[in-house]
Amino acid sequence: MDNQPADYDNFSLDDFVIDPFFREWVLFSEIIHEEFWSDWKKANPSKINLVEEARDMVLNLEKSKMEMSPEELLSVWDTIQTDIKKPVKTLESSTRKSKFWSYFAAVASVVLVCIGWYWYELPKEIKYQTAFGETKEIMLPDSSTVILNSNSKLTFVNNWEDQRAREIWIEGEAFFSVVHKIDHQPFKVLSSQNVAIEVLGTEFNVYNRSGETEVILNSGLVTLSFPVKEKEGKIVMEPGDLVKFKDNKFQREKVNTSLYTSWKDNILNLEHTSLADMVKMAKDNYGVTIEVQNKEALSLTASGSMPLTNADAFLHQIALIFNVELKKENNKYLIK
Amino acid sequence: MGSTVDLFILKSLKSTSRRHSDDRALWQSMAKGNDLAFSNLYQRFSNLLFNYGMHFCFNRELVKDCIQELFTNIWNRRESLSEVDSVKYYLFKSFRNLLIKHINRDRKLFTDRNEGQELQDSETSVEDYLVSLEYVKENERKITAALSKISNRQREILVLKYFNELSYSEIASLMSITPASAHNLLSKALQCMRVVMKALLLASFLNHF
Repeated sequence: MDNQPADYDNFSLDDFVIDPFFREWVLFSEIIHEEFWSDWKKANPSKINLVEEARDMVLNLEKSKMEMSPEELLSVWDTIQTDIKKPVKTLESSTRKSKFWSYFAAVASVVLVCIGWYWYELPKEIKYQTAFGETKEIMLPDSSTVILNSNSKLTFVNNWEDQRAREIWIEGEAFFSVVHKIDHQPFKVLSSQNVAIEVLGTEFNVYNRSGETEVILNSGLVTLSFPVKEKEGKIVMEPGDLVKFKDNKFQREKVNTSLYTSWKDNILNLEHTSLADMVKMAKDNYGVTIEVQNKEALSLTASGSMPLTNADAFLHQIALIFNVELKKENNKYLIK
Repeated sequence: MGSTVDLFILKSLKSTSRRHSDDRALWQSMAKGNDLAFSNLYQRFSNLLFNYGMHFCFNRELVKDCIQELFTNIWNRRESLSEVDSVKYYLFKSFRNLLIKHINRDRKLFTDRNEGQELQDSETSVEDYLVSLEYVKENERKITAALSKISNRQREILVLKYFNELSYSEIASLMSITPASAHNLLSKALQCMRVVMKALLLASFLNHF
C-alpha cells in the first residue's frame, strides 16, 4: 500500500478519484471529512469544479460494484467446507505408509531416551497470584507481558518452546501485551468457562470472575472460541470489541476500551458507571464486605476518573463521588 | 489547518496499514490451522474478489467457482504456503491466474481454439448479461454498460486501483506491465469512462424527448 500523505493542492482529477480519503468522504461523509473538505474548498476556490467532478465520478464508479448475495456468499463457503473435508490423496502419503515400519524402530528408541530424560527435566508449572489490592507485572518466557489485577491467578507450564501454542490459564483479571514470534506460534489464554482466546499479536484484557468471562481488545486481532451446548462457538474480535461470556451465552459490544483497562495504570475511569458496579469492583479487587443500606443509591451513576490505591481510599472516593455516607464497622463498610 | 490535515491523513494511513498487518496476522494464523482465521479471510476478501472477477469476465458462476477453488487450494496447501508480504496482492494474483485458466479452458471447450493468455473483448455477451440482470437498477446498469465500453485491461486496472487500493507496483506485476504503463493505463481508463459516461447521459437525456 503506497498511499503517500496526500498533497491535495496539486491533485489532478484522477488523483482525487483514486484517493482513499477522498473516496471515504464521498461515500460515508462523516463530520471530520465534511469539515476538512469544506475548509479545503474555501482555501482552494478554483478547484471546486474539479472536486465536484471527481465526486460524481466516485459516485458513479461505486454503482458498478458487484457483490454476491448473502445466500451466494454462504453457498460458496459451504462448498469450500465440503471440498476441504475430503481427504487429499497424494502419491506421497502412500509411499510414506510403506516406509512407516522402517522408521518405527528408530522413532521408538528415541522416544525411550526422551522418557528417561523427561523424568529429570519435567516442565514446571509456574503460578503467579495477587492478593487483594495488589497488582503485579509479569514478564513471560517469550517476553510478552501480563499485568495481573488484584485477587487473580495466572498459570502456565514452562515448556512453550516445543508446543504448538503458548498457553496460559487465568482466573480473575489480567491485561496482556503479547509479543509476536517469528515462527508465528499462537498465544492462547484459557478461562475457567472454557473460553479460549487465540491471539494474533495484540493487547487485550481478560476478566474472569464469578462465572463470567469478559474479553476487551485494545489492538490487534483475537479469535475467541467457547462452548455453546455441545458445539463450539467461535468469533473474531476486532479492536474496541468487548465480548462477554456467561451461562453459555455470549454478547458482543463496542466499548471505549480505556474504561476497562485503565486499572493497569492504577486509574479507574468511570463512564455512567453505577454504584452497584463500583461495589462489585471493590469486593472483587479488595475482598472487602460492603453493605448498601440504601438500595436506591445502587443505581446512581457517575463519570470521571479516580486513582486506585487501597480499599479505604477507594471507598472514600466512592462516597465522595456518589455523595453517600460511608461508615466502617468491624471490617465491614456500610453505605447509607 | 495544516495540522488537522496531517492528522486525518495519518489516521487513514494508519487504518490501512493496520488492515494490512491484520490480514497478515490472519494469514499466519490460518497457515497454522486456525479455521476461524480462514473464515475471516473469506469474509474479508470474497466480495472484493467477486467484484474484481465480475469486471474481468462477466460470468457470475465462473467467478464464484474460482473463488471457491482459490480458498479450497489455500486451505489444503496452508502448510506449504510461503509467507506473503501482502495478503491482498497474493489473493488477487492467484485469483487472476485461476480466472484466466478457467476462461481459456471454457473457450477451448466451446470454440475449440486457443486464444492465448490474454482476454478478448466480448461486448455482446456483456450486453446480454446486463439485460438478464433485472434487479440491477437502471442507473447502475448504465454505469456497468459504460464500464463494458472500455477495454478489459482498463476496466481491470480501475477495479484494482479504485476498489482495492493496490499500489502501482503491485498492479504492474499483477498485469505484467511496468509501473509507468500502469499509471498511463489508469489515466486512460478514467478518461474513457468520463467520455462514455457523458455520451450515455446525453443519450438517455435525448431519449426523454
